[in-house]
Amino acid sequence: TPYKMIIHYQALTRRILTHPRIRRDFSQWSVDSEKGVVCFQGKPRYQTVIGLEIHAQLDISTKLFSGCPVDGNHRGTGCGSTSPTSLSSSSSLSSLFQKPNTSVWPLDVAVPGVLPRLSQEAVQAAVLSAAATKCELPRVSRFERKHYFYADLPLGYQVTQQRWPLAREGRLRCQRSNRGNKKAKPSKKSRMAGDDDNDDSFTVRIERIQLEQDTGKTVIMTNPKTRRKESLVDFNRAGRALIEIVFYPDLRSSVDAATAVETLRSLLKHIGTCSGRMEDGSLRCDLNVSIAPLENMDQEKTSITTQNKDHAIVQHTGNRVEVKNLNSLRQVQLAAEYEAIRQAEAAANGSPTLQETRTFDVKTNQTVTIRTKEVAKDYRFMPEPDLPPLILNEEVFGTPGMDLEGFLESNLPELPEDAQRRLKTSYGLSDYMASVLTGDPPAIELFDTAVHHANRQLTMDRERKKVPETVANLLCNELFALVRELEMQRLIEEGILDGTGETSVRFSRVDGNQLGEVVALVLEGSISNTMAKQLLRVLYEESNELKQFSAREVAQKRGFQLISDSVELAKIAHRVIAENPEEMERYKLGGKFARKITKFLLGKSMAASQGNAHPERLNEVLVEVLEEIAPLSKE
Amino acid sequence: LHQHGAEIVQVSTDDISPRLMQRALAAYYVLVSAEASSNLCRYDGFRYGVAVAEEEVNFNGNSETSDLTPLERQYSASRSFGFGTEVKRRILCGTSVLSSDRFHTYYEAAAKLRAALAEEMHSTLKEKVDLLLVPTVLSLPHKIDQGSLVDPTAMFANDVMTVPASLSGLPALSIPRQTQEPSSTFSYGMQLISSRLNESMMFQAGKVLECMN
Repeated sequence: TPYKMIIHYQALTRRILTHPRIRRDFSQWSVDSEKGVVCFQGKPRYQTVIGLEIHAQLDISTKLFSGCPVDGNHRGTGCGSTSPTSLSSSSSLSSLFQKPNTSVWPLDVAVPGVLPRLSQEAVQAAVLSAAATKCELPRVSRFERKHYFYADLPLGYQVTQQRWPLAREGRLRCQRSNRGNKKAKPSKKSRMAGDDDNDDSFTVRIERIQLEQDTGKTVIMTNPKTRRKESLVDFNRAGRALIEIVFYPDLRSSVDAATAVETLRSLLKHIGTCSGRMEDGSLRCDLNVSIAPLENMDQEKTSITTQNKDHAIVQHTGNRVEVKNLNSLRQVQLAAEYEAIRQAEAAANGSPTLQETRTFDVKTNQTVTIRTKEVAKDYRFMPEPDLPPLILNEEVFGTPGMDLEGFLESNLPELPEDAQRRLKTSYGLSDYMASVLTGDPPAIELFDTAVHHANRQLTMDRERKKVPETVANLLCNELFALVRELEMQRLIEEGILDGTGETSVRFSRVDGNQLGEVVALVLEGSISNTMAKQLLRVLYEESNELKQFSAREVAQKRGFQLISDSVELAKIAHRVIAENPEEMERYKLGGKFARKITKFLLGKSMAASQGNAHPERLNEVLVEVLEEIAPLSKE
Repeated sequence: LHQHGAEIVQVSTDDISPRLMQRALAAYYVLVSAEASSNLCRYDGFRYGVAVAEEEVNFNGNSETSDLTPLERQYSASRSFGFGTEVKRRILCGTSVLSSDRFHTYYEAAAKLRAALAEEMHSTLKEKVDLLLVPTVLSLPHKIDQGSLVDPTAMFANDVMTVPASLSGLPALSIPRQTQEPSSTFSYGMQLISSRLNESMMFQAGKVLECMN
């Protein structure tokens, strides 16, 4: 029946559309996810050009101008705090489940008679974000009003920074993911190429970063009494501090766009200025997509002007289209691909797309028009008369005599790419290990401390060489697991964290010094690897009771000691020999058989001791015992 | 004032140029209308203030509002009803001077003029004189029953003496003056303008002038 056929068609389309590498449409147009080349019947015709605009909610304790606490109830005064990286994940829990219009102060709903007062925390967080993306920060920036009427904009204007933004001309370096290959070495090309783009990495330029206010949130619901659709507005979000990050249209494919968003997201999360949760709306992404014809089918020769934001108005290919409010990386990718094909098709058919604003429909994976902008909106920008120019001076940084450089030095954490490089070159860690540690900034500090402490305790160079790797292994494999098992659940249950938090050694009850000591014990031969894991667990679980003891003392008290006692070892050796009569027969043949069987028995003995035998002592004892039981004739 | 020990000088046109003073009024109204149109955007009747009932709004099949969304129609109705004539006049003027094709010609030019005038006033009050003494108004108020006959722009002209201090951000004080003829009710007031944060001197001189009455 026709009905059944339609369903089948849709299901088929959906399956094909979500194919990872090639996005195909039934009209014979396709686009390559990674390179962004749009093809007709397999032949390249256009290049996708993408510009990103990202709005990131600053993770601070109050709103931008009103002083209203972000979670409504639990905090005291947030103003004047000089630490933008304070632990505020508790605020995100409450702000998610807040009742509408409970976190609102008069200025947030434009009650007459209130003036704005700029939050110092917000400026500091914005400055850190700009510095992390290598932006220029002019000493003076200014606020302006952007006027339009809408129900979620109570003042009738948004306070933003249009002509004199906080920061300009930055860049974001992104890594193209090596599909699934965690332990792959970086390609030789990328190791030598330095800053140049290559197959593994690329750079996106940032045009500007500006501070601005967030609007309220509109929800459409059906009124149960009147049965009519109503728009309801929640002002909890109104007035929250945002930074808008505008990129130059340097991106060329949907995958690159998603990568850039993810890189920025994790960078801001790393420095603590934004919680980076797209699903909750703390990081929102708008896409600007256009296409440029490939001249003579040659990708490099395509002329794309990327100097300004109004890019790529190339003849016969239509204007750039804005897709708003994308809530996940996947949506970013799908929207970009759909737009590329839609625009290519339209251009090739002689009716290029108009400049318009669209939104993404998650059900059909297609972009949909909101409104056609025949005439661009005039926002009537006016300098904000109620706020003085923003000068980056000691007043903003909160410490007398402090300037921008000083502030960044004491407040900007080591950036992920710097940390990764340092971990790889100074400590020789693998890409994978380095990225696991970098993924949790407190882990980097813990790692550094542990390595330092272990080195102090060891005397021999050959032991010291293995310290970084051993620390990394114990940290990544054991300590993370302990924190996840023993800490995260409890914190979630107690309501201190919400369920979306990632495991972090920030919550660990075992610190870097203790970890370092355990590693030293392993490398000097006092305990085995297995014992180290057990010791770590004991230290963690009984951290309160064992506070005053060193790891070494605990190891001794709990009997974590490599078995070096000859009598003990001899017992093990005897047992193993008794359990393997056939092998013993072979041993008696002497020569190379003896050597092979000795190795075999050594392995069995070690296993019998559960890995806790001192390897060298065990070897000595085993050889002695074998000599006793089955002496070989001298050859 | 002279009796109380003040030295009286006439401010030269080199210090405060008449050309700037003449245009100050126009600049003032451009800026004030712009700010008013912006500050009044928040009055839409949804969170506080006057609102027109929904039924009345939707009933209106006016062609002028047909390309507005329902929300915009609601806003227009409430604002048209709630704002008085003079306010509407200023909002429209302000919206106009802020629009992108007029912004440079009007708002920016006015802002530049304000900056130039403020600079002149500040340096005069810092280097040449401590206080300025000028009239508060140049014409007396019109009779109340003639109110509707007066051209609104002419009404603005009454502000010409108070505008410079407002534009420059300087403290000013108006002191009533005893009328010359006992029969008349009004007389031209006197105005003192001082430099920033110098209100105390301004109050001292003001007291002298007040006692003069």
